[in-house]
Amino acid sequence: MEDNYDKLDDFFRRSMQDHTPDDSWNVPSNSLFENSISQIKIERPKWYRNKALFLLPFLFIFVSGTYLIIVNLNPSSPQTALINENINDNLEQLKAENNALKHQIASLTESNSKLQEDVIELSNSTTKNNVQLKSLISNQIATYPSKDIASLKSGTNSDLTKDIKQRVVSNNKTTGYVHSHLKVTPVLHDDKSNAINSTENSIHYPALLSVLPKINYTNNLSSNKTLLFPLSKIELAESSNHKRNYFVGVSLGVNSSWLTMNKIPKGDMEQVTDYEKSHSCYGAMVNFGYKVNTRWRLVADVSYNRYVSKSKSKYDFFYNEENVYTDQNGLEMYKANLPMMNPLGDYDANLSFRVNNTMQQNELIKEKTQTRQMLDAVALNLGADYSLLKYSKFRFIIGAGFGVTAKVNLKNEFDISIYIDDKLKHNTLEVTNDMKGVNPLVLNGYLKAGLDYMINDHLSIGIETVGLKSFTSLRNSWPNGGPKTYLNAFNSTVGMKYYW
Amino acid sequence: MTDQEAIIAAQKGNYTAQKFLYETYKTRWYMICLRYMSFKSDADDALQNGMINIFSKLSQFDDTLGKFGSWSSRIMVNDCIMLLRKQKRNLIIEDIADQIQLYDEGETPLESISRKEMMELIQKLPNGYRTVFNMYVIEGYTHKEISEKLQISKGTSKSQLFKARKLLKEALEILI
Repeated sequence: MEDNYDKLDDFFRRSMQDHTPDDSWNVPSNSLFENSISQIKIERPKWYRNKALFLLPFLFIFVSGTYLIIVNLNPSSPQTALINENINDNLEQLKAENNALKHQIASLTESNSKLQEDVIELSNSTTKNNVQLKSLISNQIATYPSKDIASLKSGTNSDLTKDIKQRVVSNNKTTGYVHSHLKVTPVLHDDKSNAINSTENSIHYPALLSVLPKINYTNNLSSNKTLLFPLSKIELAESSNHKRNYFVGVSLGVNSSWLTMNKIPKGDMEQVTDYEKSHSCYGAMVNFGYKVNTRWRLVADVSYNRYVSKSKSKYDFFYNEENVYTDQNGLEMYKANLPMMNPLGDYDANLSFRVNNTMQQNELIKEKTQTRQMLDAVALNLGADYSLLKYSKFRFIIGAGFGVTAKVNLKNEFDISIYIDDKLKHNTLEVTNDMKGVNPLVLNGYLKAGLDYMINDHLSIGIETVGLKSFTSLRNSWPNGGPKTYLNAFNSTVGMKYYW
Repeated sequence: MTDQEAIIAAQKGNYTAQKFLYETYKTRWYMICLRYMSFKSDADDALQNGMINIFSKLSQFDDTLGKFGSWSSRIMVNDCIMLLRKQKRNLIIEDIADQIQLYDEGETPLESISRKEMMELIQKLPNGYRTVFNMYVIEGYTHKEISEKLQISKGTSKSQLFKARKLLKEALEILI
């Protein structure tokens, strides 16, 4: 059944696939295009779409660095608070121990008073009894057989002991007994004072603490409350990777460049009417470093960066009949040399466009150009890094230096429009790789901040942000002092370093 | 400027390049819109939406997978179908295929009809017939693809096509 419609289908297909404009019924209005174009949102590559992305490393470094600095300076920081907390814990413990000591001292004082009374009483009775005791001992010794004395003197009998029960008399009455144990130890020298070296009495006194208890200040801090000291005051032992003397690193990143174009001629025939003040692009860097001491490193880096600039310029010129020629198709053409003033470098465009014979000598012709320039540059920078904060794994680095930027390629895209009587007469897109208007070498300085994390003895990963400013103009200035363009770039990079 | 140069420049938002592509393909795009939409005003809306999509998605265009004309036409067709859906017009009118009496080939001198008249005939078709007819006959979709895209059954797609053809043939007879 379908085959019966093949001819019909084929006829419609051929007709509908013929896109030749026909009496304008199938030609849309130009206003549709203009309306659409105003609503177009060009899809950019992902990294480009999110312009804020390049700021993240900078923000991370800035926030981390600020935090670390504050931690070291501000007493109310968490680390300092922990230190204070630990100190307070110690103070509380000391206070408690102090109170205990006071209590003990009071108790000891009371005991001592009692002891003194007892000692005085004992001393009185002992003095009296000692006289009796000495007499008793003398009498007792006198009764010893002479052989015992000889044995004692010769040392063959090591000890001579005697239990003595001594009556304590008060007011002619027996008030008690002192049981003494006499022990005579032979001595081999003349120290007679040791001959009788021990007397044990059965008088018992209250328990005394003769010495103050020794207070051991043990650290009772819990394991998670390690006593910390301000980090800046402690020079941590360098990890082995810090001890390496050289490093080489590779990093990739994005940059945001700010162009400052000054001395733009005003009111002249040729001028830049607008230019993009900032633009984001990308770059790559290889760096080499040498460790001078624990804090300082000398660094040299070679970086490749791409900078993009968009600008608008205009050039008004007068119709000159001498520039009119007839081309091979017999059409009257106008040949014009149009200077393009741009932030990254000038360019002269040679254009030919159709004119008609109604044009008059010195009639005003306007040219407007939208330019996109893409500059590839290689920069060699020398500088020094300083480890502002250094831990076993982390280093917070700041640095500064200077260098030269050499331009390797400049791609220009010119969208040139020619207006006669304010009507668009010609439009063309010129693409060139012209370096004539470019200053080949530019001097620049930089400041940077970064964080390095040591993965192992030889490798570290880190992020850096570099602010770069050029001291000389990117573009070749005119002999009479034309516009100058200075580059301020902000690079954020992520990379790795190898130490040896 | 070649298509390729213009596409690269238009991806970066270059106005001249966008205009170049528009000038090159505007008739093709517009005829698609006219075929799918009943009214010129709707076709204008469809073209505008389609162009916004085409220029916005230029970065997705891969010239190794096909020509820009085909790629952009597909976007335009999809946008027309989306617009018809948004308008909540019933794409499918009937599901039952009538028995149509067929005409013998060669009886109709089709060549005598202009493109504009043919476009008007297509535009006068009911939405469902027109959509399936365009997709199957002009764009070259299969019934399976149509059924998936319009979320209808294959049988419905076939019956809609059958009815569209029938109506067109009858209309052509009247014109001639």
